[in-house]
Amino acid sequence: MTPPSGGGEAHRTGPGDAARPASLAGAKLAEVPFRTVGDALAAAACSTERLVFVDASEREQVYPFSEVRHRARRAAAALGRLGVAAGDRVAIVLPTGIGFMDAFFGALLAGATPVPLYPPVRLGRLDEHLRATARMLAAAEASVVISEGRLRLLLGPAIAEARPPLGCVAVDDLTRVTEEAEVPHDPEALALIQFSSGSTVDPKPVALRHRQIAAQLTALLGEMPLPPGEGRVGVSWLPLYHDMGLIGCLLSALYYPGSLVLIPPEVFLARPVLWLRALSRHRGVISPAPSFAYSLCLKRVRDEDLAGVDLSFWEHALCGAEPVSLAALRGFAERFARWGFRKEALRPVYGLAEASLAVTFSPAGGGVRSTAVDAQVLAAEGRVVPGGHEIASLGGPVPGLEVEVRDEEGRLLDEYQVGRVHARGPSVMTGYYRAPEATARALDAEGWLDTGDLGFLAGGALHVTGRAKDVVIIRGANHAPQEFEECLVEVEGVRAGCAVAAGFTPPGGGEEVLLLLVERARAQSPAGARGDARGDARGDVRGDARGDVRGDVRGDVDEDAALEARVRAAVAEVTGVRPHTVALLPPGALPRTSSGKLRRGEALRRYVAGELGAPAPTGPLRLALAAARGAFALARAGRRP
Amino acid sequence: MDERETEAFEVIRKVFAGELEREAPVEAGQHLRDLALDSMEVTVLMVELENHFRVRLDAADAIEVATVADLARLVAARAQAAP
Repeated sequence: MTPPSGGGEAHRTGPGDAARPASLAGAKLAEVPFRTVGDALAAAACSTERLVFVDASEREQVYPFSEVRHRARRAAAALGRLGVAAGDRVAIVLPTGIGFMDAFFGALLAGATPVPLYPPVRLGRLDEHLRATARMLAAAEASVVISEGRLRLLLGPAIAEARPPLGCVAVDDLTRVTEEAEVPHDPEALALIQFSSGSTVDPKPVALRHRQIAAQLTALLGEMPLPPGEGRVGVSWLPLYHDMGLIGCLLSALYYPGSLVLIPPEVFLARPVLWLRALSRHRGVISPAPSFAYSLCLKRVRDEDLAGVDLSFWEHALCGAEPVSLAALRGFAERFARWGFRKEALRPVYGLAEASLAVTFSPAGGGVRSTAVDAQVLAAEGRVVPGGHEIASLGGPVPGLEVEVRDEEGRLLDEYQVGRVHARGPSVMTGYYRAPEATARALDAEGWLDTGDLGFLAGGALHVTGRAKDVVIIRGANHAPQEFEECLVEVEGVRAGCAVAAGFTPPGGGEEVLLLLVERARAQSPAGARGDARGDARGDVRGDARGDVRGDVRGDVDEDAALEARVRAAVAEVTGVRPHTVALLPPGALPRTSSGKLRRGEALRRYVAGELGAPAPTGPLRLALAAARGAFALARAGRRP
Repeated sequence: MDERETEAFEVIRKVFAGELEREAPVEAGQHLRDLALDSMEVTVLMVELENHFRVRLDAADAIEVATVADLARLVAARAQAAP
């Protein structure tokens, strides 16, 4: 187990001991090997490196980059014939497979900008997916959508709403031509539009130029240098509509060049062991994943499925895209050491779509590091003093990047002070696609990106402690809180418009989970807030009907449990995310601005600090009531305690 | 339920008890909505059913599926139709 690195250093504010400013710069960026993705693909096509697609039965399909490129050049010709012009946006809704490559590289070689969007979840809420897809198509002003087979038919309503001028085409039709084409690329042209949150509410299209992606990939090469020749293999199950899978895995394989083994994300979720077996079979050196993937392996991989597995080639086990869970990473390292996994391979990293991908990287071979702080002081005052709560170190800026921590007014803070994390460098976007207001909020005149994350610098490393922006990150996917809150509008018993969704780390650690703070409608208020219900017809009827206190209490417990179950079911059904905690609050408990808007960040802070809602249960009856309420809610929602 | 539906139902039960860690056994009449599945759990269930019966399920299938029994029936029908 790696000891906390900074525990003692947090004292460094004594007299005469000048505090250092919260500012770090990465190494100088090396010369960029390829100016555009097209150049990198052309070079990779001259190598023997390849893409390998693994299916649920572990059968593999192999495509050397030379073939990937030929197919892409045919797709580019077909897109050109279809009317796609240089500079157009081409949306792609496809699962992991060679079809995605045809569409993605085909669009690039046609001089267009690919916009990868997520395909619908099987048996999920199709209407929600269509709504989000239509919004994203509109935000990116896509001229055409590339999809396949039945999926293409399913997308019909979204296409009808967004009306891309060239409609929706099947990817299979693009590679049937024999003609090839490639439009010369300008490093200033947009190489990719990726959505920072696949949201139905306020989709933000992050527009990245070839030169920005080239700078990011060059920085990654600098952080993970691999010797030339054999054995440059990456393994990824990450979705290709996400920066970590697309830029971090697919495009970096081109830049090395190296081979990449791809597992569809849904196959990994069902059979996490396939990830580890693919790493072993292909002697994978690099593989990134969010914390939850390491947890999932701990929970769902059985020893007997690992016969003969050797993880000793895995040098860069990157961990990012969601808050790092130290418990998950340490548990993973301990358990899988038997199969050759080296704990030094773990590298917590930090990044965001707006910076192309990575901002900071833990040093190679250093394993997991942390700083131990007082959680109470951190939550209440935003100060870093030594304590028993460990926060993962995310390392220093990657080559070319700078990081600063600033206060709310934009003034540079010192180390060990919590503030807003800012980043600047050649891989940071120039702006969101045709959204000047959102861009102005994110970037200042000097090119500094306000990441919206809160954190501090210590010992030359970034530590992220929370989030100033309203974003909930579940398993590496960004969600706007409104997505969850809107689900509750029609739920009976919820005070209309009075719910806050937030991401939080549950007590005891682990990955970020969904917290819902929900005010009861007045008629539903239990004993503590009964005063509110007086005069209300339902409250009166209930008061008449139940003579004794016990009956009343049981009624409240039942009502709360039922309300909580309704809230859970509504959110899970619409968003596909199951709330971890639903806190029912008396009407008016949530903090608001003077104009009546809910203050999500403040609500979360108060909840974590134990300052929100009804007074804590004290007497034996209230304790029993609280326990019963919890048990009822869990039983109703079918969850384990 | 015919034989194939019963088999599908048993696979569904097994996934809920195993991968999805639900303590109470699922019943045929239960609504999927009330089971509050998240997207990862739905995916796990679908991939397991697809693998077991060698069928393809997709997003449009949600329209005809409300209960656990509906899902078993759909999978059985797909398996029947598959070559």
